[in-house]
Amino acid sequence: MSLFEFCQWLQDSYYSTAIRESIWVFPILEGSHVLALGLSVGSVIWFDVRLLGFGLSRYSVSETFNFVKPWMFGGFAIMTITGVLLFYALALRCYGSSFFLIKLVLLGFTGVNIAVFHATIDRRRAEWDAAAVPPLRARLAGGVSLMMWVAIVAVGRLMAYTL
Amino acid sequence: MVRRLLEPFVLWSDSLAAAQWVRGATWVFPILEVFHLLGLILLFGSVGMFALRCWGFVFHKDSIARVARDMGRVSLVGVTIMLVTGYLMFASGAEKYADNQAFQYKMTLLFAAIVAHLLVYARAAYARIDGRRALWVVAGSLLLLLWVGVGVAGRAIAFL
Repeated sequence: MSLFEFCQWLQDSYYSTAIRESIWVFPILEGSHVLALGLSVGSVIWFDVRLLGFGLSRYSVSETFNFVKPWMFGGFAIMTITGVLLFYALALRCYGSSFFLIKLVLLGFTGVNIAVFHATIDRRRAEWDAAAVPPLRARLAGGVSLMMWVAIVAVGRLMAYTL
Repeated sequence: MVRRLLEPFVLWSDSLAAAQWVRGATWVFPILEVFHLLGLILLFGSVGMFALRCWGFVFHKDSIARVARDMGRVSLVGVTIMLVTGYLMFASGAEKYADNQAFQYKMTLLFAAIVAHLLVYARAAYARIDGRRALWVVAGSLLLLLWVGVGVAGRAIAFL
């Protein structure tokens, strides 16, 4: 089964059609996906701002992370669940969308950025936790994250016009 | 009633050169939408943190006044971006949007949210002590609720 056939099979399945053609479920999924931006990206920006050394210097990096953690994880959980269901409802159309492909690549890159941050400079966080301006590699991670989320939001919004 | 009173404003918006510009090029509206969402992130992100401070979850080293000033600035940037991009999108199809029921709800909620926002932040910025915590819990929650209402009604415009 090719990727195309898999997406076709997904989109033709009973529940995919049910979501796509429902009066309430699809708008609620899409609305939640858009508005949960305020929770997910709206909270991760504060951690990025702290990593960049642009503000919140009265709080250590760990403190800032603890402030945003529950809302960030909650927000991204909503994003993932609604995002996967939206893809499931429109699998074939996503397959044909170059914006969707770009969005996946950007999300992957953001994941790599987080993984690299945790595997390298974040291991020595205790040394720079309280520093107003964190070391270059931490600032880089924050800056990349911020730019990636802006790009992901843009591509995600543009994608909806081309589906 | 309000709809009829505002008809001259709706027609005027519709006739603006900027409105014709948005209508004229297919890519302008989507770009405005992107910036509208980026503004939303700033607004919700800052109102959210302010509400969390009111609830006593974050920024314990800072007074409510300090958080209101810092976060108030960020929300002002977010709100300005949203108002400019939102108005341009509205103007591109003013009659259509003015007749859309979700849009009417959104504008009513928006009016309430802006008034509440200005009142709460203006009051909070000069709050000397964090006394009467219950008051701030209510104020922060109300703001968040109003803005989320604006967002929900806004998303509904596309589905009506």
